[in-house]
Amino acid sequence: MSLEDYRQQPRVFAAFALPTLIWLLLFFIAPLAIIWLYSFGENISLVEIKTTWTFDNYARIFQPEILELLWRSLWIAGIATVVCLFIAYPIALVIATAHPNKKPWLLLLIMLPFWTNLLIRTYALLNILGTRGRLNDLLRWMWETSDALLNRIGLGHLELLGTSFTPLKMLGTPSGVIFGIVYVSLPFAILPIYSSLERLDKSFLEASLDLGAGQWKTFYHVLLPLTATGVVTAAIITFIPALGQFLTPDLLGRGQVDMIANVIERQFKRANDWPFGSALSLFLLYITFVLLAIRSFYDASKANRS
Amino acid sequence: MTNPSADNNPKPINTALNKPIVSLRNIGKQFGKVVALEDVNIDIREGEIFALLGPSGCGKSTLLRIISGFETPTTGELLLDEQDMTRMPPNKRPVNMVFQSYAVFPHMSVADNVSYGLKMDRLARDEINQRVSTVLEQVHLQDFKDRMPDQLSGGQKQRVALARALVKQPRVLLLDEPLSALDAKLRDAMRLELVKLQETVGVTFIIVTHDQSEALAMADRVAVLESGRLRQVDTPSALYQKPVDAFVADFIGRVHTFSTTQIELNNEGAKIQTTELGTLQLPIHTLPPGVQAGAQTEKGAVLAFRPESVSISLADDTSNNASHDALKLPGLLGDVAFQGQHSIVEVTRGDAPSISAIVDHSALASLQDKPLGTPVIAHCDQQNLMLLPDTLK
Amino acid sequence: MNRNPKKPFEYSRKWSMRFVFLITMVFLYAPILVLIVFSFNNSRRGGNVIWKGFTTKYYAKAFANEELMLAFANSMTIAVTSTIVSVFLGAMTAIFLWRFRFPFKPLAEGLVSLPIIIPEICMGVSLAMFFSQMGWWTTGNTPWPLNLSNIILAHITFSFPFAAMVIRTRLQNFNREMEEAAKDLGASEYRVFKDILLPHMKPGLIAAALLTFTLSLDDFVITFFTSGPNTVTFPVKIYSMVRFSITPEINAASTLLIVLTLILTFLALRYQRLTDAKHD
Repeated sequence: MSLEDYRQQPRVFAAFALPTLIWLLLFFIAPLAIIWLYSFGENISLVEIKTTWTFDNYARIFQPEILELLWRSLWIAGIATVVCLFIAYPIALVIATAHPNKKPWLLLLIMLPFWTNLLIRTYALLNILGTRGRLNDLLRWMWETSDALLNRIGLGHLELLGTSFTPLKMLGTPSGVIFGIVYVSLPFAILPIYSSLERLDKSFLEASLDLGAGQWKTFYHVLLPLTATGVVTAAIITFIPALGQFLTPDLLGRGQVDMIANVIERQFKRANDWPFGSALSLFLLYITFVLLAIRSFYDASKANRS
Repeated sequence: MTNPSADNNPKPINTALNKPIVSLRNIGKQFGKVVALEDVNIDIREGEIFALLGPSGCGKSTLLRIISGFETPTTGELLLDEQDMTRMPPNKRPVNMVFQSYAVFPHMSVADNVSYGLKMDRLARDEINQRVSTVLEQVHLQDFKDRMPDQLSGGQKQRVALARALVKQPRVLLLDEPLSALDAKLRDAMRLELVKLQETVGVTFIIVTHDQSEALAMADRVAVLESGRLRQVDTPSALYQKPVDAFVADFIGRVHTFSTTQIELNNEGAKIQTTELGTLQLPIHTLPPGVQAGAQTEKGAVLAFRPESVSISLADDTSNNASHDALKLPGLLGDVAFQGQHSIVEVTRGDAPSISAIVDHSALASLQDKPLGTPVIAHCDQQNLMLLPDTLK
Repeated sequence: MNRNPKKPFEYSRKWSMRFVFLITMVFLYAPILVLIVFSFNNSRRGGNVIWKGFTTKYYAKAFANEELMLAFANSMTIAVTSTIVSVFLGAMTAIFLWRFRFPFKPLAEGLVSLPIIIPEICMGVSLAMFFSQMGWWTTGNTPWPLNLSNIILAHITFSFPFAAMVIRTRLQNFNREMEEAAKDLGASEYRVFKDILLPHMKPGLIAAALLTFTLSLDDFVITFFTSGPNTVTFPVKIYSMVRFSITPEINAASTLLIVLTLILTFLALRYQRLTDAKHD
């Protein structure tokens, strides 16, 4: 059914549209405008900033340590996204092909941790990832069992597993941060892939098998290309929040694996360098826009092809 | 297709003499630059079943929406009982509608759905209850009044939509493609039931449909629309037997057409030259409107006949009793499709379009065991040849 | 032979795939379960220690912690208020975007979805700067709950676009003929809205309310930037406790929030089942 022209009922339209637009203007656009102005400013006293239209704050982004920070943020978020996708695809496949009665429950199982507070989930990992945490307990148990097994079959003297168990250091390392980001963003990655699988006509797969392609070939040549949009969406909506992650690097990185958001926070909360913090925030925002632009470009080119 | 030439209208009353209830005067409607309707004039008579028929996009739905008040015409006026209704909002019109999707409110029971319109009119509770139960009986839903719509079948939902509109005792009931959402079997039953219901309640029905067999079977009169223009308003049999142009002839049933190059009137009728059939002399003394004598341009007149009026004989059959037929088309015997009471015989003619003939079984006997490709002649007598303005695209 | 043989694409019935699924579930749930179990651990330290017996004393301690309870009250106040406003504003947004054609519509749609997309930290920082620039109730002596208003404003700003999205999806399956049918039966614009559109929107409104409530309760980053020393929310309080030292009390407080989330989810599912049952 066609949409109504706003001119037919200008008052109704205004009554519904204006509150939203005013709200966004006041509490979304105006705040962004303020940090935009700050990003061209200088601190003249502790809490006063004068917009002098200087580019210094942006120039500081290209200092070696900030570039290193940006690079680190990008690869941590990138690796976390890739890991998420590798886990998410099989999970989405299982849910999409499950019995219709079980589907809602499986989805609920995925979504339940997602509804749990992000801080609490990150905090929960603190208990797991420490050198004396549960993960290392598990690894130690596995090491001891295999060591005992090796001793029993008479291979103990070869010291195949080393002389003693060395705990895995996760906290304060990039692997710990990546683990944390994967943990908190996995549901984001599963849902878009799942919905693209749901929309997929299963007869394509059967046709491929029928034409003689094997399971893996079918996956690679039929299933994956047909669900590419879902994978791209999953990648984008995992990567963007991952790049701006504050809590995970803060709690699991222990100040040794800073990402962009941690440095931004420091500018506002401790260093009191609002102009640079603003410039860095906007830089993060621009990266987000570029990613979204790439995605809509991808969508457009896909639409053109079909 | 059923043969609509037999007018099986069961109604005892002759609505032809009734006064008009809805009058459309010079109705035009434009959406931006798109012309949806152009200068439409129709009088719909009280108590009749009137069908608006045409292919999709012909403007019939827009016309229905103008009558119901959901669209305002760009030009012209709409009279209801001789009063101007052109700009009256839909909730004030004594006209109700059965929507294509039925639009039965999913969160209300059958009874609540049916009483909704009466509640809007602020009628007394007793009267509402009484009218609701009467109308539910009329549509055979008296045992379903507490059901929710998702517990109903498609056909039952349609009855709810019907009851909901009829309970308001409208002057006119509008039905938008009422049978399109039903499956084939139910459709035939519902067709009959709608006609019976209309007889009982006596309300004028205006039905929009794209299905010509539906329009011909149900309606007292049919308006054929094409590209926003009204082509013809007539009874089903008149539409079939005397179509005003090639479009109507083709839309109501099937038709074979041959273009003409020149028409001359002489003492014995019309001498018609065609590209394919040569020159024919037909006893037509007055040319139909839209056809002129003289050399024809690209969009001139066509000579047309229906598959039902074609008969077929073997080419070497000398005892041909149809030898005086005006039109003889030699060809080869093609496929014969059995249709129950009759068969459709195809006559192929090389590169020229093949001719289909609807032939009954006694006529088929002589062709029965002839192989495909046997030379035959398709012929049609004079009175079944129609000369029509060429309005086909 | 299996009575119901496995078809080639029933991945859910392959043992290898089931194993991957199971491992992932362990990955997702084990940390939370460990956290809950250790909230009952009779030990002074919260983190990397061993099991020292069952106790509920940390729950008692958490309930006795006035700052924590105030933070909880703050969080609930903020969540309830921002949910009400967000659903209202989100419904209006959804309706005007769904119903009307107007110039620069893609721009308006983009603007509404922007708060969903942009990094939390950017929004937190910009709102913090905005409130400090406006001098909006950031003083310590503003009476409760007015001192929460800038957090509430911030929460509404990031959650109403989600509400609008959910409600608009619901509106998308609305059959406009319903509206016309009601009008045709004599209903005024207002009655059409009240009798037809609103009942149709109801599941969307409830889904939106649950979502925005969870979002508000869940938010840390934006609240962290817009809260003052006297306006601490539950997550912000837990964060400062974690920074200070890790104790089983944090586990207990976290468990309480997890239970609250579970209850909300349960209510949402129950409601959904009820509405589904009605449509069977």
